[in-house]
Amino acid sequence: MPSRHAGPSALLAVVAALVLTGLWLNGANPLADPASRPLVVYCAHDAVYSEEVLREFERQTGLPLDIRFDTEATKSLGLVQLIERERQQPRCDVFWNNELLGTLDLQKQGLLLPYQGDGWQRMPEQFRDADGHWVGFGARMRVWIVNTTAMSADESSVGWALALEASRVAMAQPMFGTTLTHYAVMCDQLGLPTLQELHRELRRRGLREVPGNGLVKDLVVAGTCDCGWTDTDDTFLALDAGAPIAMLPIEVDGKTIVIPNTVAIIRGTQRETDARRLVDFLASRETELRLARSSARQIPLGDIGDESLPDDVERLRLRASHSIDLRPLLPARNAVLEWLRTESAP
Amino acid sequence: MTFAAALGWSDIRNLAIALEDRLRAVSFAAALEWSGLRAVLITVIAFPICVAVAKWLQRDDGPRRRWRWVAVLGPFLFPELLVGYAYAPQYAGRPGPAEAACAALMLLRVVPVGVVAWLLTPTSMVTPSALYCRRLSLRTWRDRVDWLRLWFAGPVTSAIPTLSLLWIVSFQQFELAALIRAVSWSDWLFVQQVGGLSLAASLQAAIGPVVGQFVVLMLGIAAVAQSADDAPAVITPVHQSQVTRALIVAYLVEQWVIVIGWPTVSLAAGLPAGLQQLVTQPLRMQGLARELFAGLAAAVLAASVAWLIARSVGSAVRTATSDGSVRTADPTVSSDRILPRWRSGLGQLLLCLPGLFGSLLLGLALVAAFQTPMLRVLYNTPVPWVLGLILYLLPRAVLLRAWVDPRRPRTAEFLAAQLMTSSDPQQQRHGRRLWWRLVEEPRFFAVAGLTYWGYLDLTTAYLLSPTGLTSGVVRLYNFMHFGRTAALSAEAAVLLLGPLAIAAAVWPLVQKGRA
Repeated sequence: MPSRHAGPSALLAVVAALVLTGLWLNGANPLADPASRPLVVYCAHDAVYSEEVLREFERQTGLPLDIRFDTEATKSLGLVQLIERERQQPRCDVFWNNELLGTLDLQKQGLLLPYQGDGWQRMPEQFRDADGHWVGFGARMRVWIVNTTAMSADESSVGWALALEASRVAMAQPMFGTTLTHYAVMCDQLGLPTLQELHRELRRRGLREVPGNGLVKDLVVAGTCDCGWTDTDDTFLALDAGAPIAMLPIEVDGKTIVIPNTVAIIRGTQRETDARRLVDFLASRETELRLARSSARQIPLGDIGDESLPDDVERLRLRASHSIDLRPLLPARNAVLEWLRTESAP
Repeated sequence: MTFAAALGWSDIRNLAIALEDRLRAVSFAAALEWSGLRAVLITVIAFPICVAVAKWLQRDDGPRRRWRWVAVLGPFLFPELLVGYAYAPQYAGRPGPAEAACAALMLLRVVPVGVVAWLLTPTSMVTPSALYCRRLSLRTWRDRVDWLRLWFAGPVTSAIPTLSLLWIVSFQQFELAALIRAVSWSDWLFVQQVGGLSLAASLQAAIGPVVGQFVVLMLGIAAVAQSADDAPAVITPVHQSQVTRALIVAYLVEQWVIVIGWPTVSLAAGLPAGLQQLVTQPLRMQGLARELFAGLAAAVLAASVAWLIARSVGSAVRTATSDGSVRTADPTVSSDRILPRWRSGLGQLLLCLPGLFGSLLLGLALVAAFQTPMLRVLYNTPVPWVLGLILYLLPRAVLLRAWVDPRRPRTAEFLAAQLMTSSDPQQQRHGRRLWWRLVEEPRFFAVAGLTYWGYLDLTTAYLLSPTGLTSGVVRLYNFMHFGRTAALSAEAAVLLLGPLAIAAAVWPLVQKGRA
């Protein structure tokens, strides 16, 4: 009887190992001089928009990029936490975060390198770190997305929607992304006990907490919910698709919540010069205009000269000029995270 | 409505609200208990369905049997992340309905696993007629105890492997629960990680569920080892009434509509736009092909290695439980020889423990391990990714191996092997063909199944793959997070149909070459 040897499986393993190694050597080029390897970018922004911008950088500079996208709020760990855990052997050279507070957390842990380049120079103080550890660009605004066939898009209607039957109101899980920033703002304004009270009350009245802002948009567009909290880019997607919806900027204490993208260089990078070029590129006027003219309609934060913007972005830009300064909110963000985590602790 | 009725309705409503409120923020203990209980419920409901469907598959050995297999296995092979994505808008954020939907979807998805397990489990050494005969002669209490012993050794032992696998697969549930926002211990740990729970605390919390799974896994493997190995080589036609057959077909249709139909329809809407976008981006298509091959190569490598390691684990366990030493308590075998065998078997089985922690904790532990000075040099290489996948797949590989590799050579295999050594070239050819059908083909499908699991695992790819090499599944999750249905549809189609196309192309060559 033939022996039950490992033949086919071993052969398969060898072939797969060769293919994998070949792909790795070809992509990461680990044997080459560090300067000629691709610059590693961790990108928490929507791949559909960010990849186009990053490929444009490759075209303009000839520097190849290796991009790792985020999957937070679906299943895995966020890029902020991955960078924290890789502190001994960082893989990432540049971090493009789609919000600010996570970047502030990395800064506090000493994981970012300062750089005050052209991009940093052109940004208002509110959207950059004083020492250059990070710089903001192209922002989103927190808005109410309202299904106009179900209710009218004004302050009093959404106020009533929250006050009465919250089961037709949707929001993303507050432990993640821009909803976490939103909660940090509320925590800062109202105090943690009041926010906790409000949160429990809304839950008690059936508020729909879903995995992400995209799903909030989908629920409101489908008419499953009448309104919800989301970001401008999601709302524009629905508007472009012709959905019967409207947006209403959320105001806390009379100010809007404007959440910038942030870019930072990771301490330990061997490619600091190239990383700086990418930071300057992302915080440049061209990139801000590109993002503003994309279907995400992100709001430019720096000076854009005489360039014209789409009308809807221009309107948002006016509202964004009177927004909450998020820089002091790291303690509030950490308090909210700790509360939400321990709420269900054993 | 009377006042009393109104009051009763109000009480029920308040109770439902209170229950839903509790489901939104459960403790780890509650999440664990509920996950375990839900897995038990699913197992109990799924088991009779599995047996009935397995009998339906065995009705005859005609050409239609292959299509019946496709009908049964399809819902399990359809990616869970797409099922969760399709149903999230209806159920996420509504704790009660989300729990019901999650349990129902899990039930529909685990039935194919149970069917395969039931068909692979060797037939019991105690035949139904033996059991019946023993029952006819029950006189004393000792007879009744003896009959009970036979019942445990027969039908119960045959059912345990299937029940174990159904429970483990339901209990390990992560993606579906996370996407629909149902309660599960695995999702609880993920959320705590985001909130800042340390790795050490997470691993400590996971010890309980891991030990539970390990015990159930051991039970399943031991039961397979206890069953008779000489399963009938010829499939005996099984009688089923027309009503039962109609019910099974209705069940399968429902399973296809819910698990495959609706998710496909909801994604297909965005497919034309997504494909249109994709064909205008040659760089993206190139990247997608690269991601497909990288994910597939890592999964094939990990599955093959896990399969090889499982062979060693399996033989150690078989040696430990071999007839002479344990089951018959042969007086000539001293306890000095039995104990080391057991230690060796158990020691090798402990290799399965890391995989039972789930891919998230396993991935985080490997990130921490490869950040230490000794292993740091390997961190940004494919080694951590492949190692993570191997450890993740190992428990499944051990269980599959227990089914596929019998304790003793089966008669049919022995005869096929004899044919292969014949001096007549035609008989040799027949022998090789038979050997392929009896031995190699089940192994091929087992490794293919492991590859499929590894290919679709997001967490190991996301956390452990080196720069310049990642799996396309990571991007699918990015699209899901941002609600990019068009891009998701197009790339999901490429990433899921790609491996199938490769398998379809390779399969005839493999068959021809081996046979």
